[in-house]
Amino acid sequence: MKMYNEAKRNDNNWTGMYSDQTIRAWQNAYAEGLVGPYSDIFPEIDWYDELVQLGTSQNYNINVNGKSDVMRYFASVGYRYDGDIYKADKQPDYDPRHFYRRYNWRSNFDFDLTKTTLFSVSVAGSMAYRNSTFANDFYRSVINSPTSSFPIKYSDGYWGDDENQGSNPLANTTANGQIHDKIFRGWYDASLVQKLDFITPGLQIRAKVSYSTSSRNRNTIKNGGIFGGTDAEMRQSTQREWRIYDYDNPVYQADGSVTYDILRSGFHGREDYQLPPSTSYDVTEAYDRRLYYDVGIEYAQNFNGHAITALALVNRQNYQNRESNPSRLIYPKKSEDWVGRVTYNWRERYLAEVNAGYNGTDAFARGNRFGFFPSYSVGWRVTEEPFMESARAWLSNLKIRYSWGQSGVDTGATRWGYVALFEQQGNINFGESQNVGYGPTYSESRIPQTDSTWETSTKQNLGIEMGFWNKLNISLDLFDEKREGILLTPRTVARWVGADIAAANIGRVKNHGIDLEVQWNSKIGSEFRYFANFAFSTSENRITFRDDPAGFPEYQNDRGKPVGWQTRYIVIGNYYNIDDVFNAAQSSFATNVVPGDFVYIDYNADGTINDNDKIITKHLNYPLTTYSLSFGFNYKGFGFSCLWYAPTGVYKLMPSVLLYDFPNGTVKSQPNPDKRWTRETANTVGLQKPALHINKTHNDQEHNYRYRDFSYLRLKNVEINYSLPQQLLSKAFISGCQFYATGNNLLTFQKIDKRMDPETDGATAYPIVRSYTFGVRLTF
Amino acid sequence: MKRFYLYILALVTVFCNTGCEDYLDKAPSLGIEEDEIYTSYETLRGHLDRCYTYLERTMVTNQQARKRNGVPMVMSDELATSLQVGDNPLPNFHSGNWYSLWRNDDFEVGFNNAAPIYLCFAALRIANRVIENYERVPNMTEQQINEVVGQAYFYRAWFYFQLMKRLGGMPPLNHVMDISNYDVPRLTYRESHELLIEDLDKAIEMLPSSWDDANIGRPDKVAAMGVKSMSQLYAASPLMQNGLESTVKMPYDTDLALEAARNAKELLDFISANNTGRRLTNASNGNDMESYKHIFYFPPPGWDHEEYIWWNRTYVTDADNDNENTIRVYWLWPHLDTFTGQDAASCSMPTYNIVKMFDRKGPDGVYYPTDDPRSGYVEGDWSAFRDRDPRLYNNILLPGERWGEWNNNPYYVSSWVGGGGYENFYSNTLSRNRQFTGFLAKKFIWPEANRTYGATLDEGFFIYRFKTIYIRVTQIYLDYAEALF
Repeated sequence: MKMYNEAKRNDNNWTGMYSDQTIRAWQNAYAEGLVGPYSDIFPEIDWYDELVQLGTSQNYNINVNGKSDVMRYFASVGYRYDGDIYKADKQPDYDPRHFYRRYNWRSNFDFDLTKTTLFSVSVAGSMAYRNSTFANDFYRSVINSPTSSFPIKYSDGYWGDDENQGSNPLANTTANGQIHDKIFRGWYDASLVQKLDFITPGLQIRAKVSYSTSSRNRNTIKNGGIFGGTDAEMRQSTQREWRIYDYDNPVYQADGSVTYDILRSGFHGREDYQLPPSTSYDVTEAYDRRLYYDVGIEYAQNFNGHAITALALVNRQNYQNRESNPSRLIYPKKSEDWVGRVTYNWRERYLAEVNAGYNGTDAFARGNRFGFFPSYSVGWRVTEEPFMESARAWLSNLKIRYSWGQSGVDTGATRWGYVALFEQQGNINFGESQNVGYGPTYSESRIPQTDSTWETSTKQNLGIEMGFWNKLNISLDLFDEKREGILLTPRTVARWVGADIAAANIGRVKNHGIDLEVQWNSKIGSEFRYFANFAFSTSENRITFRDDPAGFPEYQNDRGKPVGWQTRYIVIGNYYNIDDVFNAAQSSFATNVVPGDFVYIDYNADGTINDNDKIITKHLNYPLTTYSLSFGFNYKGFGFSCLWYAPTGVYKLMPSVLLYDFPNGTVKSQPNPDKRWTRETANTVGLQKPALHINKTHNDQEHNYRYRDFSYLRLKNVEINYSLPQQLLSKAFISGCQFYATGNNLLTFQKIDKRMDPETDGATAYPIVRSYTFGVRLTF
Repeated sequence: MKRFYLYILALVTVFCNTGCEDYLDKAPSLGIEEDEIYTSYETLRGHLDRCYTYLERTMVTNQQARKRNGVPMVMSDELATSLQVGDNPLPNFHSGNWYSLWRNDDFEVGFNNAAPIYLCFAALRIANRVIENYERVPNMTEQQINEVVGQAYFYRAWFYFQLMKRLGGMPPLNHVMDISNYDVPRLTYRESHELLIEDLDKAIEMLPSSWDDANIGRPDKVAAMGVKSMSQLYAASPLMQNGLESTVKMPYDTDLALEAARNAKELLDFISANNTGRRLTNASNGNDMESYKHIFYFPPPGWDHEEYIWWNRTYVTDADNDNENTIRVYWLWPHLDTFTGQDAASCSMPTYNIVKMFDRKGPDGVYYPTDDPRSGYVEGDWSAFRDRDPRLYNNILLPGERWGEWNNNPYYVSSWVGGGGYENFYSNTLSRNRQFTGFLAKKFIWPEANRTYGATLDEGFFIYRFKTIYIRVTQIYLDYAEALF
C-alpha cells in the first residue's frame, strides 16, 4: 500500500491514497492471521488457487477391420473428453463448467465390382460439444483481479464484488450463464478405379468425388435474460455485495477485540428481480462445405529395371462458407487444375520426376486465370553404383538429390478484384421538408485490377542423405525460395485517385535456409535398443521489393527487411531528475512523467516522440532457428522416449499486466514492486523498472524494455510404456497389450516471467497445459 | 475397349463444354457493374448523390467530423480545448505539433479514408465519372442533362475548392483516374483556381436558379454563384499569388478582387430580381431577428432559412445522441453535463485573446480596442467586462449571468476560480494538467442545454439541432465589401 501511495503520488493524483491508520490496520491483520479469501474485513485472494484446478481428459478409440471375397472394410469409433482447468460448479438452471467432448467415427469400404474395377466409399465425421461461460478473458482475470477489495463471498453468503460491478472473476464465471457449442464435421468420399490392362499393362483410369462440410451451432443460457435485456440488466438477477470498511477508525470492543465500521456498502442486483434465464437454441455460428471431383489416367510399368509411372488428372474444387454479416453463403470459390506427372526410376539408382500443373482459379480476370507451374527433381543413389560396392560396409547409403519447382498462390487476391463493382446504398433526402427520398444511390467499391494473376514461388532444394554402418543417418537439405508477384494492396498509387484499389502482383520475397537431421539407431546386446534424433533448422528471409511510398523514412520501408519485421521505441534509461524530464524530447502520450520514468530516443530528431521514432528490432516474433532432440530405448517390453524442442531468437512484447505494478489500478502489484528505479539505485545498473504509476501510459508503450526474449527449451513429451509378453496374452485372445504413461510440456526453461507461457502471445490466452496421461493400448 | 475410349471422350467433352474458363466465371447476377450506373437518369443521379454524403458536418461530433469540431477556432487561437475523447488530436494544436498527425490519423491533415481530404478525392471521382459518362445514358432530356451534369460540375468545383483551401494549388483532378493515369503535375493556386471557375461557370449555366419543393437542398445556380465569388476572393489574397517554388509576400490581386466583387453583386442582384427565396435578414424586423438566432442551431424540423445559400441539410438524428454528446463534451462544464471521466475532462473554451478583441466603450462613449488607452480598459479589473461591444455579451458567457435553470432554480454562471467548473476540471486527473480559460461560448448552446432538463426528445440537449452552413447571404455582403476594399 505504501507502494500504491507512491504510484499515486507519481501520478500527481492525491485522492484515494491509503492513510497510515489503514496500513497499520492491515499490518495488524496480517500479524494476527485474520487475512483470507473469505475474510469480510481483510480479504486476500490468490485467484490462481481459487480459479485454476487440475483438469482431466479421457480418450478412447476402437478400430475394426475385416474382409470378404468382394469387399474389405475398416471402421473406427472414438471418444474424447477434456475437462477444465478452471473451477466452476453446476448451477440449477445451467452448467457453467468448461469442457469439451468429442465423438468421431470413420468407415471405409472397398468393393471389387469386377476383377478390374475397385469402388471405394469412405464416411468420416466428428461431433463435438464445447461448454463454456460468458466470462471471457478468463486467464487475464486470474492475474489482474483485485485481491484485497472483497472476499469471494461475504459471511452472509453473497458474492463479494467491487463498488463497480463485475470484478469478482469467480462470480462472473459462475453466475453469468452457459454457452454450449456443437461442432460437426463430415467427410464423404467415393472413388472408382478401373484397370485397363487389356489396352496396355499398368494403365488405369480413376475418378473421385469428395464432399466435406462443417458447422458450428450454439446454444446459450443467459442468467436473468428472459426479457432479452442488456448484460447489465441480466446481472441484476445475481446479487453481489460490496462493502467499504473504515480502516482508519478501529472500534475497540469491551473484550479487547478490534472491529471496523462499514463506511459504505450496497448490493448489485435486486432481491425482487430474480428472473428466469433466457435461452437461444441452435444458432448457426459457422458453416462451410467443399466439393471436390477429379478424373485421371494412371500408368505404371517396369521394363528391365526401368520403372515408369505417369499420371494425367483434372480436378475441380468448389468451396462455400458462411459470411456473418449479412448472414449468407458466399458465392462459391472455384478452382480447376490440370496436372501431369511422369516419374522414372532405374534400379533405385537414377531417379527423376517431372511435374506440370496448369492451375485455374476464379480469383483473376479472364485470360489471367490459368498459370503453368512446372517442376522436376533428379536423384542419384551413389551407393547403388557397382563401383561403390566395396564401401557399403561402412557407407550404407549415399544419395544426392536436387529439385526445382514452381507453384502458384492466389490467396492474397481481392475477391472479384478484377470487376468494377458498385454497391447499392440508401436514399438521400432532399425537399422542402427533407422527406423526399432519392435513391437508391450507388457507390464504387474499388478500382479493379484486371492484370492481377498468380503469384509464383520458385523453390530449389539440394539434399544429401548419408548412412553409415546402418546406424547413423545424416540428411542435409539446402533450400532456396523466391516468391514473386505477391498479391498486395498497392501503397504508391496516389490517394487522389479517390478509391480503394484491389490487390496487385507487387511484392517479392526471398527465403533460404538449412535443415539438418542426424539419427542414431543401435542396440546393446540383443534386448536393449536405443535411438537418438537431432534436428536443426535455420532460415533467413528478406522482402526484396515492396512499393514503399517515397515519403517514408528509410528505416520504416519494407524493402530489405524480413517478413513480419517489427518496430519499437528505444528506451535508453530512466529520468534522473525533473530537469531531465523537461529537457528531453516530449511525446504525445506522456502523462505525469516523474524521475524514474523511461527516457525515449527521438530517433529522427524532430523534437517529438511519435510513431516515426519506432525503429526496426533485430529479432522477429517467430523463430528462424529451431532445435529438437528426441531419444529413447526399448528393453524387454519396457519403452521410454522423450522429445525436447527449442526455438530461438523469438522476441515478443511482454503483456503489461505482467510487467508493471497495479495492473488494474487496485492494490495489487507484481511480485517485485521494490525493484523499481529509485534515486539510490540510479547509477548502479542500466535500464531499470520505471517509477510506480497507476496511470502507466508513458511507460507502457511498445519499446525495447517490454520486448523480451521468448526463446525457450521445452520437454514437450515423455512416454514410458510396458508391453505384456505375448505368451501371457495369447491365452486371453488379446494380441497386444501395452500400458503407458505420457506427460506433455513437463519442463520449460525460459528467460521471461514464469507466469507467462512463451508459446502464447498475450496474458489472456488459455495457457498451454502440462498434462499427464495414463492408458492401455489393447489390440485383439 | 472401344467403350473406354468412349468414356474418355465423353469425359473430355464434359470438361471442355462446360469450358475451363466458364466454370471459373463469376455468376452474372452478383453485384452491380459500372454499365448499370448509366441505364437511366435516376441511376446516374443515384451515383452522383453520393457526393452529398461527403460534405463535411463541422458542427457536430460524428463519424468523419468526429475529430474536427472546433478545428478552425483552435487553429486561429480563438479556442482553448482540453478534448481528450478517444484520440482526439485537438490538444496537439496547442503544442504546435499538429502536422505530426498527417499519417496515422483520420484527422484534417490526414489521408486515410475518413479524413476530409480523402473524402474530397472520393467525391471528385464520382463527379468526374458523371461528367465523363453522362452521354452513355440513353434518353435523357435536355433538362435532365442540365440538372445532373450541372450538379456534377458544382460538386467538382466545391470539393476541389475544399482541397485548395487546405493544400494550395492542386493537380488537375478532372478525370476518373485509375492506376495508370494518376501521375498528374501540380498546378499553381491560380491555375487550379481557373479550372475551378470553368466548372463553376458551367454549373451556373446549367443549374436552375432554384429547385422545386421536392428537390430543395440540392446545389443551385445561386450556390454556384456564391462559391464563385467566394473562391475568387480567396484567390485574390496575397498568399495565393505564389507559385510552387517559393512562398513570398505578394500584393493582392486587385483585378481578381474586383471580379469577385462584381460576382457578389451579380448574385445579390440575382436573388432580389428572381424569386429564389433568399434574402438578407432584416435587423429591424423582430421576427427576422428571432429566426436569425437559429442560424447555427435550430428547432427540428427546420431545414431552410432565407439566409442560406449553400448548406448541408443532413444533421444527426436523435438516435445516435451525437447532438447531446457534442454539447456535453465540447461546450459545457462537467457539473452541467454530468459526464464522467474523459468526457467530463473535455471542454473547449474561448481564449482570452478572442475575448480581448471585443472593443470597450471609453468614457467618451466611443468604442475603442482594448489596448487603446481611450477605451478605459484595465486588465484584471472588474470593470474590464463592463461596457464592451454588445457582441461579447451575445457570444460569451460571463460570470454572474443567468443561464437557464438548474433543478427548477435559476442558474447563474459562477466565477471561474473557485467555481464549480474550476473545481471539477482541476480535481479530475484527466484534465488537471490542461489549460482552461473559464469563458464559455454561448454562440453554439442554449440555456436549456444542461442535464437538469429531461433526456427525452425535445428537451434539454435535444431542443435544437446543428447543421453546417457553408455560405449565407450575409457572407456575400461581407465578401462584396471585402473585395471592394
